[in-house]
Amino acid sequence: MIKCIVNACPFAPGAVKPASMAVPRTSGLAVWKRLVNRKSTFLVLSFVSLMLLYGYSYPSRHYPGTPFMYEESYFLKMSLYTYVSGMLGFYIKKYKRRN
Amino acid sequence: MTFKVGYLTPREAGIWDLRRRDRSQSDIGRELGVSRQAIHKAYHIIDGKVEQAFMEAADTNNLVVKTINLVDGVMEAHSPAHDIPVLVSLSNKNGLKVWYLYEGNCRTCNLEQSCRSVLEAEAEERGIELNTLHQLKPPTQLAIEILGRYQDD
Repeated sequence: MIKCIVNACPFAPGAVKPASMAVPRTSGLAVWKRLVNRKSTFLVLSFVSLMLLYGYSYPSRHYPGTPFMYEESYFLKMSLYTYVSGMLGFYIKKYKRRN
Repeated sequence: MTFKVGYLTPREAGIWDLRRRDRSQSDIGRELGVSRQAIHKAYHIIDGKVEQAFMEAADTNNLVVKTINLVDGVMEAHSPAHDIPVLVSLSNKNGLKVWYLYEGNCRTCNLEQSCRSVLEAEAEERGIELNTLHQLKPPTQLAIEILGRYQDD
């Protein structure tokens, strides 16, 4: 019926469109909102919690000559693994919900 | 319960959304912990409210109604004032939106980004995947790409 039309607009022909409000994209609030999201919060929290875990358990678990898991970047790696596994879980859940 | 969202309560809006995703009455009932009969009754109430919202949208915008798809929330109409076809969409995220089917011209419009956000939300709610090609299209074309699929041939 009207398949030949390939465009659609929320404003009627000839309607005066309201002027857009200029919001600077680099404003402090905008940058903050872009940085603080669920993923970044999760990354920071996992990093902090694993760092604390490492710090508190180091003396009781570390024996001379047996490095165990406490390598240089143990907590950094673990926090990244936690983040990645968390995100994987999140996306799998999202995919399942969609299908 | 406003005209904007078809007078649907949050629960009715949830049921309507699930039905639009081709979920059966039994499935919806199981998910919400109610009987299939309760969902069946809710369908009647939802249909009545959605139809009322579309009719009022048509009345407000002086449109002549052609078809109403109560499940997908799309109404086909005609605007005698502008002599062009019109689509009216209803979604939980955007509420009622009127789309006039003509060239539009996004290049000279300040609201391109706003229209794009509305359409992306519309596509997401309707389970329509938008690829990179879609994202490059101006909103006027994207609108017909998303809503055109509900038009009758």
